[in-house]
Amino acid sequence: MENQNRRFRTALLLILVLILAIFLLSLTTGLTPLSLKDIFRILFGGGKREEKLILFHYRMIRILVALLVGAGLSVSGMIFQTISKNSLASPDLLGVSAGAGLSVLLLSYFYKGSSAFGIFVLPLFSTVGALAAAILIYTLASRKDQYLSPIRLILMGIAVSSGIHSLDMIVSIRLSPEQYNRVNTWMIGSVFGNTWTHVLVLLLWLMLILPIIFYHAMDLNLLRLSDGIAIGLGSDLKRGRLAFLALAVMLAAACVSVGGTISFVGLICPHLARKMVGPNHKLSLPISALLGALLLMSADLIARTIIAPRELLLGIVVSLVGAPYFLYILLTSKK
Amino acid sequence: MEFYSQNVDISYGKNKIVEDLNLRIPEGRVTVIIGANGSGKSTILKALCRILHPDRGEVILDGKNIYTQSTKELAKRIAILPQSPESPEGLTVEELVSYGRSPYKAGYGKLDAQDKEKIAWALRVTGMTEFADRALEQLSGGQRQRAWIALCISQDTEILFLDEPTTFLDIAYQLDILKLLSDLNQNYKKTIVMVIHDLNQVARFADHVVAIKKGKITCEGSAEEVLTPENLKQVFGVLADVVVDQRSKRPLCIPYDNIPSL
Repeated sequence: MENQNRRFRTALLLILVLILAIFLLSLTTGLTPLSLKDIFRILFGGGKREEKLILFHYRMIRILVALLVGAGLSVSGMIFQTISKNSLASPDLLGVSAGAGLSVLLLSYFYKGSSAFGIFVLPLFSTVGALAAAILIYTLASRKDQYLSPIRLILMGIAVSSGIHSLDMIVSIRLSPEQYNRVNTWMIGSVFGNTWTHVLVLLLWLMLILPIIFYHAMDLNLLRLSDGIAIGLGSDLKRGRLAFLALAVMLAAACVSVGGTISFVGLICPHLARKMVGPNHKLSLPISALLGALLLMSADLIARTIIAPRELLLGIVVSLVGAPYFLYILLTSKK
Repeated sequence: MEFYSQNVDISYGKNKIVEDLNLRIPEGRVTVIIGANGSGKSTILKALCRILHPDRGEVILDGKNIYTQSTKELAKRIAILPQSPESPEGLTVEELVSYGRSPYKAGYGKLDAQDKEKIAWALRVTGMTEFADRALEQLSGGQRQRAWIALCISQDTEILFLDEPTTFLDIAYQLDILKLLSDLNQNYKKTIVMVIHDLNQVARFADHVVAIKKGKITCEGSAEEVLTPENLKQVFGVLADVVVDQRSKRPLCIPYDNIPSL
């Protein structure tokens, strides 16, 4: 196990350095370039009013949202892949994206007011929608007096999600072009347009849930084994699966409500983490969280610089990276 | 230790697989359950070690029903090796074996000196020390099975359940695994309950044999008592000669035909 620990330490250090580098690079890059010197000057209280606005309001918020959403989605994906024993499963299959998407669509359809109200109502609505869809999938997938079957969970996830997506279509036909644009931006995923309140709420949420998950990494290890082995090692399958799924859904719902339904993060980061440090969750969970943060921070930096002064949507950049990696997983996986 | 099942009924859907099973597991012995395919022997094994909950009846370990006890507490007394267990890609032998300590751990479960000692011991007894850092999928079938047994051993339980631990292994590995189990029974006083198919291996390694047909116990006792031409006819529907193996002085079964169907 020394091998794994050594790889873990190397990976941890490497990713942390990269995150710091991307963080500073993102702060300096933009329409108004700021040097590192400027950054530190502004951070320590100096700087003109507009410099502060750019740094704290425009750049810092979106960087931190990208970091938190990336970490959250990635850990959520790891849990779901473990519970479903399928390394190609993604948190989308928990119904979170679909549920959140539909509720946001409905909100946009019925609510025509100013966007200031929407900033706080939208996350709330999407969280409720995400939870509702997840509960529906879980209920349909479980059977009386049986342990929740991973395959049923995945199939129900696919069935319910596509059902909801078709409802999405029906609702979106009835939206005005303007409403449709707003919803579409959210659906593809973007970390722009959030406030410090979003950052703080998300941070608190992650600080509440992530330690619980990391602390119980061993239980996740057992849930990944065959049912009989897990029971033999003292794992309470029913309770364990339900508890971890609930945590994964709560994580993903919060992330989606702030960042939109960004796909692929929860799929590829857990996979990459396992490649780096193996399937032991004590090591792979932290690595996966940091990789998610790094991926979204980098993607956001690319999204807002590559066609500057215009911006690509973050979700599109992630998909451009994610889709080839997904294909690579498909082509190289043995099963 | 006292371990027995009481009036256990098990059904899958509408099919009753096991009916009114009363089975006592002798302490410190090797018990082997035999029976034809579909006789319910694996189902019985699963029920005895709580993987499967019966419709009716109880399995009692030292006066307490195992289905109502904490599964984690039971994991300190009963280890289970099911058929063809799966592990995630990249998991090393040592990591897997370290999971065997989790019944004794709360929460994060940092391994202490005693845990590390047990893990090293389990690896040594099974001859897996040199493969400790290998991923399971890089091992041969026999080595992999040894790794899974090492997991069960590091769990340090008095009872060990194994469902067909030798299936899919070549004859050398089969003997290897069975000798290892026999060693664990004799030198570490572990009570072993398993399903194996090869009747001559049953004859050689079992202290107590339970023959199952259609979910019921047909006969049980020592290998000599159970492995007779009449019982083999009844349990498996085969005609067989049973002679005494000159080397081990145990019964040797030589099936020569099926019972002609009527």
